[in-house]
Amino acid sequence: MVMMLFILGISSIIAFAFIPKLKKQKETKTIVTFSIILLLATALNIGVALKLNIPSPFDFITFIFSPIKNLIISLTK
Amino acid sequence: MEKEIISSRQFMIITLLFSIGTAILVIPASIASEAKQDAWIAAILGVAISFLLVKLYISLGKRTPSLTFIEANEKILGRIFGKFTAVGFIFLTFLSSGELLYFIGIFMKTEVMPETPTMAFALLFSIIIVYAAFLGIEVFARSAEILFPYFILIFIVFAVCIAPQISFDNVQPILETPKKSFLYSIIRFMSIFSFPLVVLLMLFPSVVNVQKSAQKGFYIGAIIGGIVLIIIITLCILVLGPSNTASRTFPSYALAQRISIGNFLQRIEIIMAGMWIISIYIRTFMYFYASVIGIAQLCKIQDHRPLIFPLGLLMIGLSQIVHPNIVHSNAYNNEIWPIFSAVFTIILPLTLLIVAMIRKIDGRSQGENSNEVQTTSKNHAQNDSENKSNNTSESDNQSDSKNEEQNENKLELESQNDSKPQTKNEDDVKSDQDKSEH
Repeated sequence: MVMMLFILGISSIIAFAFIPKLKKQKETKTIVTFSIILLLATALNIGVALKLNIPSPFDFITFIFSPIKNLIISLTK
Repeated sequence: MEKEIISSRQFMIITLLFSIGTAILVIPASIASEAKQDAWIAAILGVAISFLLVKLYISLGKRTPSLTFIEANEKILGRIFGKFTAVGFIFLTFLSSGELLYFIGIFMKTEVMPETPTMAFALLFSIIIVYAAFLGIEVFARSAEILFPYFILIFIVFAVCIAPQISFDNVQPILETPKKSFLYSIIRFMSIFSFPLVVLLMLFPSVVNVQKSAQKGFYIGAIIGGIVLIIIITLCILVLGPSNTASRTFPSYALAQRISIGNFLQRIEIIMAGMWIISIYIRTFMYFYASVIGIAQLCKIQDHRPLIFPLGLLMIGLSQIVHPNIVHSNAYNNEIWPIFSAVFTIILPLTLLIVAMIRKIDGRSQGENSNEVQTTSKNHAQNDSENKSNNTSESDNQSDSKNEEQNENKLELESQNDSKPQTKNEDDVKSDQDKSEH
């Protein structure tokens, strides 16, 4: 619980440090990218702090590349 | 934001430390589990084949001399395909940077401080990485230059101190392994040592200021990195023996634990660990910097600085979920990583090179007055440059082989206006203070 508030606090500090300056310079693409990545990072870190079972992206890559790996192993047997 | 430039010597040092990376800790285990006592032969062959790979990367870099790898993707493959492959490449580098943060946490937790949670190490290390990314690549290159002598010193002390414990029985019988396991071990070696060198293409043509010595720096850095790895693998096999090496997770740390000179110089393995922390720092930073610059160039954002903090937070979170345990990590690194990285580090650069050859995207002949100006300026260059420069060979039209201090400003402009390199050469040679035309 404390960690979650801590993470939310850090994310909002980062947002408040950067967004007004970017709004003044009117760079909307930067603001959009910044916000998407910041939201994703906050969600992920809250998930880690609450010890949720988040699947690793490497499992996804293993799932994609397993057939190729089996093919290569069977070719060189 | 002004363009940042590093020198070719700094680039060589970055290449050296980048190619060593995490390999110095884990390679002996994964390569000895397949090739057993012939792991050193597999390492030598791997370094030799990596030479060809570096040649591929350099020839790809020469085609687009003022663009980074991500921009070159878009230019060569077109807008849609280029963006697609660039996204895949950024995926690769960002996941690898998260994995390396996990790796430093696991190493510290396993060997040095077992009761600290891995999040603490990841947090501390990522503060350094984010701060370095904020300060920029020039500061990072200088820090690499400063850390390099310590690395070499610790490495030499390490090799000399462990040498009394060599027993040549451990390496016999020689050349007994079957060819299939040889092939697997060479591929595993190269997947950690030389496939990731494509990330240096983000730096290579556009940020280094002198082209020819940058190419030499790339070769020399990769080869010396390979030699360091060969020495470590050989020492592991000679001192620990093949089965002992293959069954440990961090065999070179076990090697450092065995150093005992005259019952006095003992337990200095943490100083050796300093060597590994330096190389992991360089590697993690390069992956992270490539992701930040890649995302900025993909979305056509000029200043990459605001993106650093969110990506750093994402990297910290990623490092905690990326592998649940070391078994998963080993299985991934031994089996899936060579294939996944080969797609983006061999197939993608080969495709880019072939398409660039077909579409005739060549860094040399851009601009109208290419041929005539080249011949006249070659004569001028040969007459006048003997007074002013060290090297007088001028075979590459896009490269300057003069002193770096004279040409930093001019090369900045040259690399951005690649259309008229030879007219500038004439001007430089005739009057080196004449900057009015620029």
